[in-house]
Amino acid sequence: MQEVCGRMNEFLVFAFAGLLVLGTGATIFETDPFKKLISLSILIGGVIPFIVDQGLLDVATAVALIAPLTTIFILMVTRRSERGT
Amino acid sequence: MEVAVINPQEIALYACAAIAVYSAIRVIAEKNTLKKLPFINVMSFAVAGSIALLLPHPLTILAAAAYFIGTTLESNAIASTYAGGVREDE
Amino acid sequence: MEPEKHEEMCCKPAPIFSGIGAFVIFSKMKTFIRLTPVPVYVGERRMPGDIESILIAAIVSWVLFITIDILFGLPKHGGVSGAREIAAAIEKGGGEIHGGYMMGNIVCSPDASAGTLLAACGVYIAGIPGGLAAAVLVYIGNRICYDPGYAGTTGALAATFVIYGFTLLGFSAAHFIAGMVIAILTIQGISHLHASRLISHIWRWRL
Repeated sequence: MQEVCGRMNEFLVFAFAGLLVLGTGATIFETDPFKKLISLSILIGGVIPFIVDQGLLDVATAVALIAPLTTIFILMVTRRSERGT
Repeated sequence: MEVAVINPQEIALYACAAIAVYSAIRVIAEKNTLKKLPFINVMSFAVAGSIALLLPHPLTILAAAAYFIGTTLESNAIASTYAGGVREDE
Repeated sequence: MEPEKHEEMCCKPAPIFSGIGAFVIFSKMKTFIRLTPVPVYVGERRMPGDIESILIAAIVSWVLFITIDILFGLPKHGGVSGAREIAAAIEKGGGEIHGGYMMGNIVCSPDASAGTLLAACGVYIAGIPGGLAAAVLVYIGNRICYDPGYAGTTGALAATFVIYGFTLLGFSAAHFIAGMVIAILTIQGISHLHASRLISHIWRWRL
């Protein structure tokens, strides 16, 4: 993929960076594990537009498929260790 | 007074970004975990729409669809694991 | 209690002050819009037709995806297990169960709302072939989520042709992308209570 630039201007940079900050802050300050996983989802939602804007569409597709799989693996590991204990 | 031309793509992008930020704030402000999930769904719609509007290339449809299906799967996993667990995985 | 009410009724200057305040704010608003350095229309009004187009597109896509979802019987029962959990949580908060099932199905599996959004993205990028490619991707997503229904694919196919028809009338598919996001915001993003009651009302009406 060559380096192309999408239609990002200052307002959109602030909006999606605001999503990143909100997601990070919520992940740090929440205590319940399920709420932490949901806040990680906000974080990923703020990162993907930046990746797409630079033209890296294959990276965006890969991140968009791997990040939810990571969440599902975390849930499977946590449930298994709880049930196995 | 100068006049800047604004086309529908830009207005739709601003709308999607604003709705994404609004629904992210609603997610954080909600106390019940299962009721957070519809707000996350709204945020996924907004981000998938902005992906398609930022860079109009045929492979962007694939990226937007992958992102949307990914967050749908994730919400489904969180919802079904939250209260009871998924029985058929064991 | 009585002296307070008497004082409140004697406060006649309050409307005059609020009127002066509104006048001051609005006269400063034009200056604010003129001096603000963002790439928007710096003029008397925004471009006519864009905001109304987005609202019309929102109403069209709202009607489209609610119709297809109700035709496929989504509010009848929860499809995947996550949808049942969300429906129970919404009912405990005061909503109704059928609206809760539909909202749970919208969250946990790709249904007509997802199909409409991805079809709008497809039509925006590549016309009708893009919309059909998006329908194929939604079908694959349905199979990945273990969902046995075809609501997403039908929604995507119907939306492709509807949106293409509207682009011949002067709309742009970008209006439909924003319109679909606004439609989902009204169903799932403002108040779960009222939305579930509205959907249950429509579901009873259909039966």
